[in-house]
Amino acid sequence: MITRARLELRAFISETLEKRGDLKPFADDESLFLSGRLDSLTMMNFVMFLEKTYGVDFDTIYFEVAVVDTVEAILALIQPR
Amino acid sequence: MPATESDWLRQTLAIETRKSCVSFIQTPFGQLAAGALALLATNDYLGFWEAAIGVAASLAAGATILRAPKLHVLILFTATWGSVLAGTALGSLDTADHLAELLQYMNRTTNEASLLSTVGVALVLPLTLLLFSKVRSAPHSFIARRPFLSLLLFEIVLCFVSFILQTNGMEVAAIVGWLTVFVFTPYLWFLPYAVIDLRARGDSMPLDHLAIQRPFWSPTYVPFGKGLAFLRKYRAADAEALAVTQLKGLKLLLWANVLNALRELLELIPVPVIGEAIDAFLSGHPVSIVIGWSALVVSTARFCLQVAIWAHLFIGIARLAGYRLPRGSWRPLESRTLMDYFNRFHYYFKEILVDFFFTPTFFRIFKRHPKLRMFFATFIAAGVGNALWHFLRDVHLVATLGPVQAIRTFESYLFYCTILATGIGLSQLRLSLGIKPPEGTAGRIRSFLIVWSFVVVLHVFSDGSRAHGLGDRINFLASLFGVS
Repeated sequence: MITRARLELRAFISETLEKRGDLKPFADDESLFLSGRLDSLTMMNFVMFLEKTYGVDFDTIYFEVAVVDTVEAILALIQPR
Repeated sequence: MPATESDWLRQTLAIETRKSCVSFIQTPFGQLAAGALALLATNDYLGFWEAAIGVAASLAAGATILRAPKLHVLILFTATWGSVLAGTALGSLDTADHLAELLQYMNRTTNEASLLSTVGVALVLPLTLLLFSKVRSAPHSFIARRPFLSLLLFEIVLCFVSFILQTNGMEVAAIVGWLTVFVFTPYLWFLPYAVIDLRARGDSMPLDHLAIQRPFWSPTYVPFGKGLAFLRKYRAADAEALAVTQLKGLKLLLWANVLNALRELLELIPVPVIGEAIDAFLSGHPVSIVIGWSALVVSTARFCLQVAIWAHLFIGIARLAGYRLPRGSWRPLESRTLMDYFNRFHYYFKEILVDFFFTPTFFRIFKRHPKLRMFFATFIAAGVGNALWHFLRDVHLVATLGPVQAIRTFESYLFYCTILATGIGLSQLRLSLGIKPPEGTAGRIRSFLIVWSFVVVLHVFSDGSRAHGLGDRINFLASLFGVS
């Protein structure tokens, strides 16, 4: 499940970065939002993607940028607890 | 070539990239020189003693941030609470002024306003500790889960009770109630960050949070540096990072002075401030359309410079303390969209609106309607949040004018917030639909004209004065377009 989620997330992020003209590669532990590669608007689109695809309810968690800042952080968020 | 000149200037000013400068500021002489320069740069704004204490505290905090973190927190705590207590006692913070206005309104002597306010501020300390203790012992309580909403409800109830006491002739009780409101109001925008952080992380101590409630670098109603979690992110990690941070802080303080010189130049332009232009219009002797527009443009420029100057001073001092915080105002003239302007113009104000209004709304309301969801959350932040912050900043007017008149004199700012929020919401929506501002020089000029025309025109309604009603301002604006 995690491998598939990792691939889906990477595909979504790659597509988002490409739309912004950013073709540089990114690592799973690389900052996306705090580093400025993606902006707050993208973050909200990203939040909607995670809600829709993985059923994450952000209303029930303590939200800060760090929880969606890297692929690793997002995987930790969507892992069944 | 202009680009080369710009690069040359940028490189010349980039002292934080020069090894000699980075090494020098780490020496005792370097710290002394930094202190002297920072004092010169802040003296005119803060007054000599406040500037000296602020700069000394920030350099002491910077000197201990890596080697003695506990001492660092103690220095922050002492400077923060020392400055807020002294500032209240000496009248440089507004709590005592608000209380004095109320006492005067009640035909009472104002001699005790400073003392009473200082006692009130001192009581914030134990009460905040009590709040932190409650959050730690009951992390699932309503106040721990929804700190901003809880504290806002507390403020509203307190205002209501104080007003009832006042109207029923129980003056002493009303004074105590209103004093609590005046003292508490600024902390409404700081405490939620501490509560959220205490609930989310077990490793922060109450003293860490107390030390940055209205920190000494910005004892205002806007948390420059937000809460502990944000500060930790920008904390200097080693000696070189600290030196670079302090150099960048010094540069920002000096830049504030450059902007102030520009602001003083604007003062020399012989045009009335916007309030005077409206007064002239209302008295039947309006200024010419050209002068009216000039007054509006110059007033907007002065206001924007004022926001940037104070933001740079606050962040500059915080950087001297070892926190490489993002700037409070970042090239607003380069804004490509209204959303971009909102993000650049007053960053930390925008952050409280995002954290306390946008995010909770976005995560809860209209979840199945993405476009409406985005627009509505943006509207709540830029409109409702913005209006609420400004209304509460002047909450003492509820006590002296009464709630109806306080709201009536606020109608112009409410109108401003509605139009601004609609504009920003639509701008956000356009971006989410993939509609981007045009590229190239012509595109940038077009963006500049659209964004700043909007900002300048709206400034008629947001000049900070409550002297003119909405109708008068609309008529004045119409007159600038030749409509009478």
